[in-house]
This record gives sequence, C-alpha cells and structure tokens, in this order.
Amino acid sequence: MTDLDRLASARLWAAYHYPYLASALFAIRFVPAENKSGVAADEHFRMYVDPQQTADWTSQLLGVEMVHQVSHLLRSHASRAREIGLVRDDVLHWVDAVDAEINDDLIDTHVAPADSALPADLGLAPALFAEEYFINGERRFGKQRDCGSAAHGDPRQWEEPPARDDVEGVRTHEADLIRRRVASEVLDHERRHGTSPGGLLRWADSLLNPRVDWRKELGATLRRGVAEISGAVDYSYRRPSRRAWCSPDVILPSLRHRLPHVAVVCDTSASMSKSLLAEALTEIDGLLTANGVRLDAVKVFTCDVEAGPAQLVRSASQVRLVGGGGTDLTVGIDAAVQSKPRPDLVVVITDGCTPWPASAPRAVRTLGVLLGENPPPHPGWVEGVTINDVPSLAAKLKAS
Amino acid sequence: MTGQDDSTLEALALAVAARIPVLLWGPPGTGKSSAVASMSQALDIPHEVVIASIREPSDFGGLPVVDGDEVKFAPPRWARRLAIAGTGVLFLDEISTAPPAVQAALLRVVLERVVGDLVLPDDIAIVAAANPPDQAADGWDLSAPLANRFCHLNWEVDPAVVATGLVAGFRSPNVPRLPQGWEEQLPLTAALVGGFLGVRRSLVIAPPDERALAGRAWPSPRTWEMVARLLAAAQAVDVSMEAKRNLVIGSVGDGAGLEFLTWLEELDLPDPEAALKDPESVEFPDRGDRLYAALSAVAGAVVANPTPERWIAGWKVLGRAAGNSPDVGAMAARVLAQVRPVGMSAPPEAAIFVPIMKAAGLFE
Repeated sequence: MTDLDRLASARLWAAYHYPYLASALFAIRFVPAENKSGVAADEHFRMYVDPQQTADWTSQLLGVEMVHQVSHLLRSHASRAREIGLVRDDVLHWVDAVDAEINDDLIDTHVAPADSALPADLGLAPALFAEEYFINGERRFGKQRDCGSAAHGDPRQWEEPPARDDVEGVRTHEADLIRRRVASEVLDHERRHGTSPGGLLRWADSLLNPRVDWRKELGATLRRGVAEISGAVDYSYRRPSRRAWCSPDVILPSLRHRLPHVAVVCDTSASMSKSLLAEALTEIDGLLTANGVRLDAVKVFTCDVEAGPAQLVRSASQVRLVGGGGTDLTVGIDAAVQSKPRPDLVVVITDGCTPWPASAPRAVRTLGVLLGENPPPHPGWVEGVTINDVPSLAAKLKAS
Repeated sequence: MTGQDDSTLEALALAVAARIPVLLWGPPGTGKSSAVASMSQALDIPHEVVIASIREPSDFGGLPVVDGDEVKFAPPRWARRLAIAGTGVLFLDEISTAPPAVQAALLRVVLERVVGDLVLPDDIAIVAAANPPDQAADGWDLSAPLANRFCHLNWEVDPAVVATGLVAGFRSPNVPRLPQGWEEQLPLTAALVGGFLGVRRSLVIAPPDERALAGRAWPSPRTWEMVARLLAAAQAVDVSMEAKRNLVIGSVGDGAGLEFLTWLEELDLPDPEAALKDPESVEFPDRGDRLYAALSAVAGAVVANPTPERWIAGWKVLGRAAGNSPDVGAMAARVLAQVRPVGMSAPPEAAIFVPIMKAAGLFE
C-alpha cells in the first residue's frame, strides 16, 4: 500500500468514527516531512507525516492522530497561544495543556496518541480549558510532544510557508467557516444520536452562541443608565449660550450637565455568593469612576429583611456587609429612594430570590445586577444584567 | 502610520471607493486618523476632519438662523467646503465619545449626507473612527441606530507590521478606481443576498439583545443592502477573500455574516440534481471538504428519491470523483449502499471503494 492509500484509509476510519469532524478531516492536505512526533500539523490544515516513523502505524493509530490534530485546529489553539503571549520556552508545556483539553474527548472511545498528555498527567480534573491546564497544571518533563504550529502558532522548520491559495492549504478566513460548519454538525449529531463528546459540545455551543462577557454587558448598561440621566439636562444662566450672538438683546440659557446621584442596594442575604458580589461591586466601582460619578455621591445600602443604614463609600472594598438570612429588597429600594439627595439611578445587586416593589419607584432608573446561573424573573421596569461564571448549557445537557 | 494587516486596509479602501460609510474601531494612537488622511492625500481630494466629541448637535443639524418668517438651519463651514468641492472625505473622529444627542444628530449626516439645510454631494466618502467604550476615558456606547449605518472594521495593530513600518515606512490604503458601470452588478449581488435572506428569514432584521453588542454591526435591511453594494464593488475590482469577509462581517455582524459567507461558498458547489442527470460533465471542487459537501449532497439527493436510475447515476458521480480522494468518495458510497433499490446488483463503481474500506477496517 502506498503512503497516500494508508493516509486515505486512516482518514476514512476517522471520518467514520467521528462523522461530525468529517468537514475538517477532509480539508486536510498531507505533506510528507520528517518531524519530531511522527505527525504534526500547521494552521493551514496541512498535516506533516513522517514516512519513516509512521511506516508501521495502523489505520486506527493514524486516524486518531488526525482527529487529534483537527481538534487543535478547530479549537484555535494557535491563536489562543498568541492571546496569552506564549513564550518559546513554554511551547511544549502549552502543547501538553492543549493535548489534555482535547484528549478528554478521545479517551472515552479510543486510545489517545502516544506521549500526549492527559488531564491526570498534569494533576488536574478533566473537562477544563487549556489555559487552566497550562497555568495550574504540573509541568511534565521527559515525555513531550510537538504537534506543530496548529497547537502553538510557532512555525517549525519542517512546515511550509503560509498558504496563499486553496491548493496550498486553508486560509484563515476559510478556517473560520470550517469551524462553524463542524460546530453545527456537532450539535446536529448530538440532537440525532446524543453521542457527541462533552468537551466538543461545549466548544460548539460557545462558538455558535457566543455569550457576552458580563463585565462588558454590565458596563454598557451602567454607562447607558448614567448617560441618560446626565443627558436629562437642565438650563442654566451661569454661562451665556453659544448662540447668544444670534439675538443680542435676549440672554439665552446654556445647557448644564448634572452629575447623577447613584445609590447601590446590596442584597446581603445568606444565599448570595460572596466572591461574585465582591467582583460585581469592584466592576461597578470602576465603571462609575470612569463615567465621572464621584464616589462620595454613591450610597450603599445593605439589605436583608431590614435595610441597613446608608454607607457613603469611596471604594467597593469599604462596603461592610451586615445581615444574612432572608431578603426583602422592597425595604432597601424604599430606603434608597427616600434618602436625600434623591438618587437618579438605583443599582440593585441581588440573587433575585426576593420580593420586588409592586411598581417602579418614581423618577428613578433601576438597574438590576443579578448574580447566579438562572436568577428568577425580575419585573419589567428593572433593567437586568445577569452575572455568572458557570459552564454553559451544553455542559449541563451533557451532565444530565 | 498604520500597523494594519493588508486585508483591513483593503476593506477600508473598497468601502471608500463604493462610498459606504465606514467606522474604524481601535484603541487611541494606532494611526486611524493618519491612515485616512494619507488616503485622501493619495486620491488628491479634500479632507475634512470633524471631531464629533467636541461638537454639539446643532453643528450637524445646522445652526438655526431667523430669516424673516422662517428659521433656516445654516450648515457649518466644513460642510460648505465639501459641498463646493463636490468630492472629498469627511472624517468623523471619536464618534463613540460624542454624547447621545450628538450621535442622534449624526444619523442624517452619515446616511443621507444632510447637514442642516445643505445636502452634501453623493461623491463624499464618510469615514468615522471610534475607540471601544471600555478604552476611551469617557466613552459612550454607540447607539444602535447610528451603529447600523456603518460598515464596522476592527483596527487591530500587528506588532510585526509596526516594527518593520517604523524602519521602512508605513503603507497607506490604496483606493481602487471602480470601473464605470460597476453598479450594473448590483442586481446580481442583491439577488444573492435576497436568496440567502429567503432561506434565513430571521436574519433579515436581528437587533442584538445584549447592550454591549448594540453599538456594533447587526443585520437589518439597510445593512444587507450595504452588503450587496460592497459585493458588487468587490466584483468590479480584484479584492482578496479576507477583505470581502471583513466587509460582510463588518456590515451585518459575526453570526449573520459568517452564515452568509458559508452559504455563498455552498452555492459554488455543483448542483446535485444536475450532477445526477449528467454524471459525466460535473466539475468537482479541489479541496477535500468542499468535495465532501458536494458528494454528500449528491448522496442525499439519491436517498431522498432512490429510483434505480438515480441510484446508478449516483454511483457514476462517485466513481468519477474517487480518483484523487477515495476516502471522500467512500463516505458517500456508504450512504448509497444503504439505499440499494430492490433487485439491483452492485454497480462496477462500488468495487473502487472496497480496498480502502477494507484497509480502514469498515468492511465485513
């Protein structure tokens, strides 16, 4: 059998056992080249196969290698390595981390490629991200693999120059389309057969339904809240209007920009997650400062069944959390609205397991910062931002 | 200076040539303004810079002047200069730091080119620049209506380009000259976009749910029309796939844009029914994944209606395609083998796939 026949039958084996990866597997172009681990790949879907080292490999062994390399490409391990600013000395440790991420999906059905790391080898639990394995995992020495620039983005000497057309390889923008196609096939396969591996399912779900980072979403909502209040401008005669020259006999007012008063109502019942609360407070703190709201204008009310006294704070770390037990936000929001000077924006931080006031407080915008995975519904007059750091739907779907 | 990769510059140049408003998103100090300025210089046309964040709404809506019984809205000097020149680039800098009222006043300027009572000539190109709100000192998010009037391009800095550029000089975008009559292509590209929207109706208009995304590109009838115009312009001149991709995604956003591009790519595949009618004349794509998609479509068409003639024709197609990549053909062959019509025996083409399936351990 020629080398090409062997590779073709190995690829057929891989496409048969992992049908949802077929689009990516068939996009591969094989290049015979000596390399360190027998098989390596680059970012342009070219697989470098060492004819000597792989001479006696079975179709299954080669096929597993193909699935392995394609997984590096699908999960954009090269661009993720660039994102964390990988240095050359750490390249092989990074390969161990990304191998651990993808071997999760392989070992349920087939043996992982030789010498590639498993989560247990790095002393960590399965189903984590490569970045976590890289930062928290133990370093492996001795047994090491080099999967090529597909895994780490650092071109090796055996690799060809970047692809310029379809015949040479897959270019960056086309790789994105392949990723999306495979992702929808993974989800489709799960719907029909229910056998897509968990890690891959999570990847596909996050690629097709990207979730906005809650920090960004909180920032956008808070900025808009502050913007619309400071946009509700007042007229003032302290300075003459720019247009006063149009009518010299009339004194026109100029526009005055007023800083909003912000009150923060903080749910301190026992059900709140302390770490998420601290993170949310820090974010709000930074965002308000960036928008020119003076911190001494922010009042913080802590609130369980009874509203605590208003605290004027200069930073989030100064908030003293008093309370615990059951929640009734009505009390806290009432206390905030009735305080002097009257706030323009009330930011409520809660896990949502609480009664809300029956109607919107008058002339006050209310922004709800909801902590937790699936907070109960809030009334329509509250603009809600949900804050969580939990794995997405697909992971839950798999676990059940 | 610009530390850009070529595809962003190319996309910017094409959008300017097609007179589609462009918005460049990038951190301060990355050469957005100077790239646009050097572009106008190369084209030798007037270049007006208006910093939106220090203007007030009447600078774009016109200053009200009482004239007898009526109020006129007088346009500012920069607008008059552009109107007299008849052509030029209007560069609106820092529009994300402009207060919401100013953004609202910009709506008509950007799309309809109306400043006060003055209508700017059609030949004016509008380019805007903005810092992402989390990077600007006092950033506002762009309002969704204003965001929807632009093609958004990400101005990312490539350290390697900056490093060489400092020594060898930076490149400025090279605006292509669109040939006369390029707009005649417009009905064709509009039909493409229309065809896609006919299949994916929910993407005709999909304002983003998340506030953080409202200030970026999102699909609406207006932005789909922009896509059609940009594609028509791209067909008239030679444009790289990356630049085309940047323009489509910049107009309608990531999700809708990538879906549209995938759909376009699939349009290039041979029509399965035509292939079954005339297996000898099919042109197969080169790349394995496209060939796989084409052959799966042919096998799928046979499965949908497995008459003996179609079944035989399906095998003929596979037999022709199998030459260079028997593994791709074998996947489709498995599908065909499962729908063998009663009384038919295996055609000669089936034998081509036996050795590879045996080697892969799939043949009992």
